[in-house]
Amino acid sequence: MGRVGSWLKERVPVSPEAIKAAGNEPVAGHLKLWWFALGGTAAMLFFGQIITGLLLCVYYQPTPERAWESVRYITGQVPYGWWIRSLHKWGANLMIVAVSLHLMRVFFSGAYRRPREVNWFIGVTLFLLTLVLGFTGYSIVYEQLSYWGATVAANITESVPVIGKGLARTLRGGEQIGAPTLSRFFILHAAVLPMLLLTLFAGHIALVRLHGVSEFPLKGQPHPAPYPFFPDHLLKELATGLALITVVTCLSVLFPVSVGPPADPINTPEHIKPEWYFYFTFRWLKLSSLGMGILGVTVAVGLLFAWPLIDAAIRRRRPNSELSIAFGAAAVIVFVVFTVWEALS
Amino acid sequence: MTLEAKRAIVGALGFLFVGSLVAVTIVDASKHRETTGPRPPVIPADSKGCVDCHSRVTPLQFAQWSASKHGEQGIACLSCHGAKPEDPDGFMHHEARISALVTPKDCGGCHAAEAKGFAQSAHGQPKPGLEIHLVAGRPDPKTWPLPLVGRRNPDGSAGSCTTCHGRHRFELADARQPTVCMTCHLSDGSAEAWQRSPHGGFFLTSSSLETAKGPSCTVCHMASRTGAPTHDVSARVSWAMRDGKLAQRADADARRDAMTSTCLLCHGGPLVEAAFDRIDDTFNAGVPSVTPPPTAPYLKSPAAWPHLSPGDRYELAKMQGRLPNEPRSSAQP
Repeated sequence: MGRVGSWLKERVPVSPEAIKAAGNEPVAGHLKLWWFALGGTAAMLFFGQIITGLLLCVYYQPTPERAWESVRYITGQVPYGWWIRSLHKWGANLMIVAVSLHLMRVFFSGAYRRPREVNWFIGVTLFLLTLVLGFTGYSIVYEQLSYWGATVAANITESVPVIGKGLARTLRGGEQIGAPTLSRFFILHAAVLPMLLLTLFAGHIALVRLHGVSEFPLKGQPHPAPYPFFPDHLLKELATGLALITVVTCLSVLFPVSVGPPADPINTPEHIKPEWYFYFTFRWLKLSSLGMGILGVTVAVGLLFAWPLIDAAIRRRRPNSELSIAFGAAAVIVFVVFTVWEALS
Repeated sequence: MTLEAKRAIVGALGFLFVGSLVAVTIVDASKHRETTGPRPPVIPADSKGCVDCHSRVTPLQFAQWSASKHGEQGIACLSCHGAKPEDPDGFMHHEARISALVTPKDCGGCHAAEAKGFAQSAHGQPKPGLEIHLVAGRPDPKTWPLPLVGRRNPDGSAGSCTTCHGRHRFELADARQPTVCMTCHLSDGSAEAWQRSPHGGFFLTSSSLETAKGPSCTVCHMASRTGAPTHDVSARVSWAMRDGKLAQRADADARRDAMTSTCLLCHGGPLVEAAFDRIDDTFNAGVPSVTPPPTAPYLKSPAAWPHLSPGDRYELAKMQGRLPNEPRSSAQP
């Protein structure tokens, strides 16, 4: 063992002590609070998505002739296929919830402020990537609703001034959704977007480590002392992970994922609805004209991105301004109202 | 929260997770899956003796039945071959009284609507001289197997379901293939006319019935958009050959209307009407007097079948024995 150890140490010159020290870095005390674990929750869900996604790739075939049939086969015939697919779907939904809650936590605790603006930009990009991953994943099932959802999305893209037509054509690989679209969406969903997400995620974590976790003073409470990563924080992460996989598994058993009718390019369904996380956008598009709808979504995303800069400008004039809290609360209320409205309609 | 409390939470959650996996396994085990390997047939007690012997004596016949819907549902040898004492075509075979002939009347015991439609159709009409003779209850090999359509069965029925459905496997998809219709209709010209029309051309570009872009014979002559398909394949055919002459069938208008409503599923009214007018004109003009008389005179008329090229008509005439089998270059019109 000693000889093997010294052989390995010569070729991998990293001492176990250094690894232990890196892992044992004290964790900021306020991370004991559960709502500060939402970023880690999203990350854990994402790694779950990679595993279940790879398993689904074993059987999934991204062609118009085989896509729906292969999903049906996974759901109905492959042993535990329904479970893996349900885990992937519920995992995706919970990941969107976790990312959104994490984003809200960072926003309302002001953790995006100097010097963490760049990490906010990365975080918002990660949030948008998560939504696009959800959309592409839903589309490649190639059932009637997902096909028409993709068609509507491509048509909306087409209406974007200047770049819209070219962008929609590039995304679809032609004038309508078909074989080229499916291969594009599949490559985006299974390779490009996850790689991009992983890369940005690494940058996100690196910046957190470089800046340190933002301090969050809790009113009326003494500042909690830092605590060791091992075993305290690791146990907490383990508990979170176990709770998540149990919740997702229970959801999969209680509400297993189904397969709708296959895509029929000739018959438009009476009611087209996107997945719930696009209800907000869908309702907004219904309320306004197409041009105003696109403009509104663009402004909303722009505001979300640039908020650290806007907030800094406001706070230069009025250092104690709580405008960001009021603005954030209003945005959340509008989001919830629009989502519920669309869900009930 | 103390470390002990955290450990307890992790332990409890781990326990819950294992519990959820048990639930997953129970749900997975309860799911009905189609088996991918060979599925054993259901063999009822009365047919067990037949199967024991025939799985060795006629193994391919047994294999076909095993893989059929009948095999799946336990419709076995005696369900179709069993004969009552009063059946003229029955004879004793080991301990069972059986019949070698399975007639439309036998099939109609379960498939009543299909047998009724079939009996009304041209397929179900007996022809003189095609009677099956029995010797001690067994069909005389000199008269059996006769051409199946037009055959007069000892039980009074005519024709045979197995002409289109085959024996022992009874695959529906087989009966829907135009190649099955062609076993008879290749010689009367109608199969060629279909093959060389856009209907046949586009059907034949597809690799399967499910992806077919053109209709096969059964789509226009049997299928129904709203109800069960008809087995009266003549119900939509208004012209027929009688004694070498083309004649309109009884209820020709009703038959034409039935076919028209089928055509309208894909084509516009004026086009359908014009096509039928053209065909009527051609058929009304009568059979051209040529020697030997052609079996499919309408194939000679470009007006009725504009899709047939002169070369195709020549090939068809040759196939039907109306032209000498000589090099095409010298005799081609």
